Amino acid sequence: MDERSLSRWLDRQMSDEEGRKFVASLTEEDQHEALALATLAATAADLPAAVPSDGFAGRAMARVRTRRPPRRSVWSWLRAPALSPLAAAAGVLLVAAGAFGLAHLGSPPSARPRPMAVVARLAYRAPLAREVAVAADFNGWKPEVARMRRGEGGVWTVEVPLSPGQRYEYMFVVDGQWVTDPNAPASVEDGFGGRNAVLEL
Amino acid sequence: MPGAAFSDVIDTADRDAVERVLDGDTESFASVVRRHGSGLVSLCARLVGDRHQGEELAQEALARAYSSLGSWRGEAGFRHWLYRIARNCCRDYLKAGARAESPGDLGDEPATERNPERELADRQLGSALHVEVARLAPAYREAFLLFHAQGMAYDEIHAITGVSVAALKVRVHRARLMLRRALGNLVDG
Repeated sequence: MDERSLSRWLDRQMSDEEGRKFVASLTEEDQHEALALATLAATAADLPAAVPSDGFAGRAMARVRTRRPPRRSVWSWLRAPALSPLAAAAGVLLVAAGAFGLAHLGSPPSARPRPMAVVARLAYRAPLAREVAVAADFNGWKPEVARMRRGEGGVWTVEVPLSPGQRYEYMFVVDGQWVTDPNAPASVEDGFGGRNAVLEL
Repeated sequence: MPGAAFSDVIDTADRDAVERVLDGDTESFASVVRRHGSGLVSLCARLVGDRHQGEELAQEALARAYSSLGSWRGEAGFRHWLYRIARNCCRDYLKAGARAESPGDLGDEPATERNPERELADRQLGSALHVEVARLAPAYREAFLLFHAQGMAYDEIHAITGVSVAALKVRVHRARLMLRRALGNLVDG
């Protein structure tokens, strides 16, 4: 049986007509297998979905109120980085370059003392890549937040403001593929069969 | 297209709520909880295989999202951003080894009305599938559940997990084949 066609049929990516032709082309034994897999998929679709219990919204808001209120972010600074590019070595992670009060990064004034941020530069060499980004726990695992810039020799870089004394996990996203930094000093299992690079400041 | 218009309305409402919260109105986040609470509970319960833990993780995801609202960039879909946080909460929970070996309660049993024999067979298959899905490796379990049980499209799963669509298709298909082998005669109908 053509596994690719079987997968497309089970994924509902064939038209009705195409699906009928595919099933008709199968041997009786393969038809039996295909229908068993379709039954399995339909059963999964019917598995009961969990619904919030009474009072969920109230409990969720009670937890929300215990958390630090959000502030307009340094990401607005990150979108227009003011740092000049360093000559980043291929595939090397550089932690740079001084400490800044967040007030220097455009946040609104506040009476509270502001934590200091270290600017870390992440670098990854991928000369043939069209797009490289970093996804990490410090940006909610959102690669679109921290797109990297292509530099000389196909070295992609991005600067991110991080807190000293913290431990961060991150991955590079190279043309949609999540890649562990090969030069990270440490990595940990991500629970999904891959490994996150670890950065400790 | 009504679906797209509805999504636009939700998206606009989310953006408005985010702006109000960032202006200091914490209580505006309640509208985010109302709009997305059910979806998050369903998602988390699927991923960890337990309704009560799913609800706990959904609450945690909402709280983390609240504190991180400043890092959400408007061009990325809010719902996908929220779901990604929830997925990572589940991932952290599973990584910590807290998941029970046997699958937990996922929800109320569907009501049985007619054809009791068929209902019994379906329920047996559903229960067996629930058990076997919980035994899959995390990457396969996640892809299978999001596609077949949550009914998400591949590009939506990609937006939440960061896994490429091609890799997701392979994972889902391999998961189906593994489950087929594990369930044997139960799916021969």
